[in-house]
Amino acid sequence: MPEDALKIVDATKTYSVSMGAFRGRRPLHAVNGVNLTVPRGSVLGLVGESGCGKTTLAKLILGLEKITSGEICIGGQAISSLGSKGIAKRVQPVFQDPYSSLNPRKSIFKIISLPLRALGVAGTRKELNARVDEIMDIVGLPPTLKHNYPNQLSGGQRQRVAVARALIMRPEVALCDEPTSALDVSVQAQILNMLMKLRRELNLTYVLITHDLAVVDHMATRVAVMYLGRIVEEAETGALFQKPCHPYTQALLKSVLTPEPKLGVPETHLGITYPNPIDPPSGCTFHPRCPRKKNKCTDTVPQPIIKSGRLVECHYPDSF
Amino acid sequence: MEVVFPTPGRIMRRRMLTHKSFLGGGAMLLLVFVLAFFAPAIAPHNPFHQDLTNRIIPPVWNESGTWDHPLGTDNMGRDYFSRVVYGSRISLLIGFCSMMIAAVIGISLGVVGGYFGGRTDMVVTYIITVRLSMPAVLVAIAVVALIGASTQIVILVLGCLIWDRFAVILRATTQQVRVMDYVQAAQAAGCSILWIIIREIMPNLFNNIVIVATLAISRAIILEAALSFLGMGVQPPTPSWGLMISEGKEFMFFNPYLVTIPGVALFILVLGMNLFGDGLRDITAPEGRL
Amino acid sequence: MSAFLEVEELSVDLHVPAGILHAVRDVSFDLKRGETLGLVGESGCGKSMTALAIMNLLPSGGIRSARKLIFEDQDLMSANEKTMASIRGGRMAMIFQEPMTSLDPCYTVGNQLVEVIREHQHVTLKEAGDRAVFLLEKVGITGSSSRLKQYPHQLSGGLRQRIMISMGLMCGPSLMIADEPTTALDVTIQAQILALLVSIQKEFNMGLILITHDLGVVARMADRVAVMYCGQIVETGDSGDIFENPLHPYTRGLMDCIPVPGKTERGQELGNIPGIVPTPIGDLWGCPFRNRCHLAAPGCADKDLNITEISPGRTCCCARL
Repeated sequence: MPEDALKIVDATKTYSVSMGAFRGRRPLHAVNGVNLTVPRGSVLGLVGESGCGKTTLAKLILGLEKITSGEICIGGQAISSLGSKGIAKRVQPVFQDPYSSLNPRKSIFKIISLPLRALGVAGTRKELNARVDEIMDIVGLPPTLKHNYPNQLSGGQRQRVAVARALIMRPEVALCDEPTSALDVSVQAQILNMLMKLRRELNLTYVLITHDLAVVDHMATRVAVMYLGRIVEEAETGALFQKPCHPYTQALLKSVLTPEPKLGVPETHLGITYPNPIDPPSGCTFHPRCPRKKNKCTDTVPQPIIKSGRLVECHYPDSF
Repeated sequence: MEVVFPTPGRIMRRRMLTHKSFLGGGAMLLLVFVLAFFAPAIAPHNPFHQDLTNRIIPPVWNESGTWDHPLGTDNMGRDYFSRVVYGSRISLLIGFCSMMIAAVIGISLGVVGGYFGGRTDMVVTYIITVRLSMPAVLVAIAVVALIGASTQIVILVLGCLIWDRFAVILRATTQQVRVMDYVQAAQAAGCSILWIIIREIMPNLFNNIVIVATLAISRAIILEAALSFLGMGVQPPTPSWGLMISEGKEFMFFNPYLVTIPGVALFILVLGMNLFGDGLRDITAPEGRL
Repeated sequence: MSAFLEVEELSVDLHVPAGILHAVRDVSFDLKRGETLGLVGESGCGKSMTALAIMNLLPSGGIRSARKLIFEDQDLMSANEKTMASIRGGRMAMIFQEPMTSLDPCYTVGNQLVEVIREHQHVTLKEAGDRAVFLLEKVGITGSSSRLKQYPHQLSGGLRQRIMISMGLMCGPSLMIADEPTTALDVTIQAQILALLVSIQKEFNMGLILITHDLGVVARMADRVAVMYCGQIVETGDSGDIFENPLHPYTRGLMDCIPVPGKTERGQELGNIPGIVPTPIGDLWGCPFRNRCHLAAPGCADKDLNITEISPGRTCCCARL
């Protein structure tokens, strides 16, 4: 029976934030009890806006931050039992900014071969060269670029280098944090096509973190919506886009501006209070902005409702 | 219509050839280096050779000067030009060696504090603050008075005093580099902490290190001159420019050249070093996208 | 009818180490009062440079030239710096992408708002403060009197951008230029800010030039659209026209690249434009898009490119149509 590529159980990450001199410290629950399961070969789209904790969750999965409580398992193995090298073999990142994700002082060859050399599996010079050539070919980079430096490459080429570096170890999971947000639209399409092709060819699992719902709709098998550290809705992509049940998801989907001129600018009915992760609202954390707020929402934290392959955390969700 | 982007090396070389500070400062430094390196060939006399019959002969542009001693002689009859030439060796030697010691101390502290943050950084900052609150010259004098003065002691003492700028600047830069995505990617690729610090972060600090180093050298040179002037540095008869100023100060009003000549030499070296460092900072500044 | 904004053959050249960069080449468009023009293109196409050229805020080394650049019957090409300074912020407002760097972190919000109007008009401190409160309320900020005393770092990105908009409105401008006003903001906040811009524009009857790379934003907001590529305008028209029937191969390529929920088939390969944008340095001739165009023919490299007017208000710069 194939194990899930990624399984996150009740993950929590709490930071202790100083409120200023003489004002003590307060806890910041950047990730607050997240449960996710990503089957092998699928794409999980993780969407949310700034401050929702998706970047922190990404760091927890990559082992860059230590989890406060809960468990994350990659391919059946808990990351607490794997060292940093063990995690590196199984999950690799592709970052958003192609201009800061490559070390400006290293040649492309050195950058792409870094995971192999760091994990001590580089082999001879000839073998290393062959593997770098192979992955460059797969991502569509001409091998002559090996000896160039990042500043000589375009944004799209740099992002391909980042993907090559992530995939040279053939990890199980590739974690893409806004992989195309900093790129032009035409380049974005090339990179997305490449990512889709690679997933099929190398049988990868993706966790795609982004705020761009159109990309998520196009690429993801399942979508999880995060708000202030918790997953408020999770469903299969088609079902979520057709019938979102959580008011936040509905507002998010309405905010997607498709190039259809007759529709005008949408009204999201969200109000302008901005959530503060250090001082989250009581009860359901979304209630200050919710158009459906009722009394229960201010006092009680909503429990997750799991039904027909969908999860929603809301007192008054749309029926599904 | 395609533009080929040059390598970082080529960008630097192109800038080097047009930057005035860099070239001017570089020329001055080159002059002093040449004097120091080829001292035996350039100096006409032995700098230690005393000739009491030829004391305090003024430089050649004075009426009683001779070409035999182009910059005159001091009160012991030693040829001043030869002493200036050999003095450059002392200044450069002490400047470089002190800088190396300071670099080792300062870079280690700065990088460790900047990378690890938290409590480690608090300790490092405390150490830096303590050092910054001590006046370097006075501490140097006190230490030398306790241990005794010699060239080696001076190098050691200065090295242990001027590392603060290394630490402060490298700490700040390390903090900036540390949060860059490529460092996180290296961590995610399984690199050890030592690997990341030495092979990913340090190459990006190189520019800053070089610039601070040039400034540290000029600082060490001036401090050494001050110490020697006070008799706490290099000991006679070694020809240190500071010592020469000290020995000449009694005769300052009648034979000012005894003081101004080593003073001008110091000025040229330090100015050259600072202009060079300034130019380096501009040349190695990060390039925009075009 | 007096011209509100008329731009004819505006060009901007920049001196770079590699030669002369033709950032903007012969850009022409008109804007009526109350109309929204969407200037859309990818990075480096010259759209921001066009706006800076209109306001004469080019970086040092930038030279602009135009056959006509007229704003409310005033020739902007011959206006001196003093005249331009009184127009900028007064009759012509500009809001930028990064609200954090557009607001001075050392001064309160109220200070900065009041400064704008006192630069341009003789008003007392109290009148200026009242106008600031009025505008903050217009842009949807509650508790404005306490907001005036806050510093930029105490406010979220969305709030800061609203402050920027109200700063632009302080002197009652007739033209507002918004350069990627919502790119740095979250998606839900973006929708709110854009809705705000629409209502403000209607209320004050302003002309709005909306510069963005996001085709969705342009489709929903703009009355007319101009597509830019490599410093040139390759297609203009009403937004309904352009999105239903894009003519230029670049515009069509762009539309194919974007996944649209509900329209693009999930998991299918997205259309793509092969190659990368060329850098317009040195001598240029012919269509800048020909190296990436599937319709390219030898005639596309001819020296002169004419903008053909297909129908009134609809132009396209392609030799193969």
